[in-house]
Amino acid sequence: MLLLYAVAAGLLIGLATRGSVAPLATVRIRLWQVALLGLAFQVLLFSSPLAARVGDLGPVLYVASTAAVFVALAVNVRQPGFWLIAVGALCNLAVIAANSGQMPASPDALVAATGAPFVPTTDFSNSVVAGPGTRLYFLADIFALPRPLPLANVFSIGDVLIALGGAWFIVRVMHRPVRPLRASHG
Amino acid sequence: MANLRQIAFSLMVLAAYLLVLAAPFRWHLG
Repeated sequence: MLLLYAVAAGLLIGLATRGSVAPLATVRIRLWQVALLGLAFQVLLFSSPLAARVGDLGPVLYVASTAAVFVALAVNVRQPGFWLIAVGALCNLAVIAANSGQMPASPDALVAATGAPFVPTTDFSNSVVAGPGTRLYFLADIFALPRPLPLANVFSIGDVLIALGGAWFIVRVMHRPVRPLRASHG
Repeated sequence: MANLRQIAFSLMVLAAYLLVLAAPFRWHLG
């Protein structure tokens, strides 16, 4: 997953440029509950018991939960890098919405990431192999973190923007001045 | 210690945004 590399890269760049992790403790993000609930919901949605039974509701639940998290991101757009995350998310949502609620992945990228040119599950998946009928192909998963890299996976232009925005957020926050606690004088 | 928990919490919230919006679940949990 490109995203976890982005978080690690943000922390490393922040430290290498003499930032501090301390300001990360002072970040105030609105509607953070929606982000955590959305993540928990999607973990369930793509896990075996639910993914096998969700049927046609899968794409609807997937797009709706992603849209809810997008709104929860948009209300924080003044946070550094969040506008870039929002642009990347819109790229992903556009191609997913244009392809019936699933993200198309190029066969070549799938081979590089997984060794096979297909999505290896018969349950509901938010990924589908791209074909001649794919819309907005350039926004689809056309890149890959190839095997044997850890967390090998396919990714899109939108994912790159999201990863850059996430790393940028961490670096910028790490360079915020930390206000010293003022002693109480009673 | 409370500071560390806050830092971890901020990173966890950021990761949640990134993970949902970048749609990486695909087949990994299928």
